[in-house]
Amino acid sequence: MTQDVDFVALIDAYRAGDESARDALVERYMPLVRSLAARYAGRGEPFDDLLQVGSIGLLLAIERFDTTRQVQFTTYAVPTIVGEIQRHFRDRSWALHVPRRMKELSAKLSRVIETETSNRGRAPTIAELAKATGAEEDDVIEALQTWDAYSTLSLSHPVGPDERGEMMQDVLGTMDEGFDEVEDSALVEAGFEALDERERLIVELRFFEGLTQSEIAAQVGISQMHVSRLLRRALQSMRGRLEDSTRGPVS
Amino acid sequence: MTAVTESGRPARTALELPAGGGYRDVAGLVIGGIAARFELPVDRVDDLLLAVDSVLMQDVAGDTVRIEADVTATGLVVRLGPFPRGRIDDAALHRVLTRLVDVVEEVALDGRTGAWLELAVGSHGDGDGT
Repeated sequence: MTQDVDFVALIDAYRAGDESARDALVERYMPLVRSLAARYAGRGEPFDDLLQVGSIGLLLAIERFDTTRQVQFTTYAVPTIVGEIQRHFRDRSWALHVPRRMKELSAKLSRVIETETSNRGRAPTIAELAKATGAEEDDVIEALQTWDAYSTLSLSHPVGPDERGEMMQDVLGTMDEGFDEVEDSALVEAGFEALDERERLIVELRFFEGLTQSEIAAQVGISQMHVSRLLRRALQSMRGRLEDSTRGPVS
Repeated sequence: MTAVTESGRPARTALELPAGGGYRDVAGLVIGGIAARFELPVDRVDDLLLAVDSVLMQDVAGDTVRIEADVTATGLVVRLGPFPRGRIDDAALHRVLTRLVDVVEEVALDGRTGAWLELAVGSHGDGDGT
């Protein structure tokens, strides 16, 4: 099977550093994302959100596609895009099982942690959070454990401490540079490859660069609660991958 | 916060949960409740909960997992087990835990089988484990 010459040229240009080539690829394949997102419309999630998570799937496919393989890009991209959309629904359904009271407290905590950290120059304590939210300390702890897995943070929302216009996609797109440094690490053996781009970034910052959750939150431009959630999910994914590899193939 | 009981021993909270991970949240609530009394920043409390959660994802040597939290003069020590010996030799687990708490150790306890993992956080700690 021969790859579309124009497509290969764009991929090559992008990998040589031409960002506009990636934009052209995204533009070319957005109708595919739109079509796939439409299949999942009407299931309780805004179409724009589905379009955004589908776009991340497309970006991942562009990053990972091997042009030497005898397979069409769309054949490779569709499962990646659909995977992102389905994961979005999985996260959302998890959130639906959290009691409403806890979800409301979680949302409140996310905001309060941010403002209190900014005001105090350090992350607040549980007691300070309880006081600031008017909740009991036990409820704060429970909310920390069950907080909303579903982030409404827009993927095209400006992120970063100075809101310099950098988008979440941009942050995710620059992280591959650091991966080479951890390729030989134990975490790779333990399922690092099972993580998605966001999870890899957070894991790398926390466990290799040694940044605290609050520092990661500030650097990446998401809330500390969201960092925590991503860390938790990453560790579970890695554990799952490790168990799978230990069991070996099912005969 | 009282660090020792009247008998001079560290104030200890203990709970025993069925193995298998279905009760990890219960452990988190208890340990989180104790950690909150140290006035640790919320991200440090969450790191400890994450460490406990990571340990509880491991296969234990038995049907139950026991969790003990000792309040000491300098902080909180959480002990979990029993696990097969050499659990801490898992490089990935060790890497994760040492980033989340101040001290990580595998210990043998008198009169008890298996290995136990000790996770310690100082009341004013802010660094990685050793």
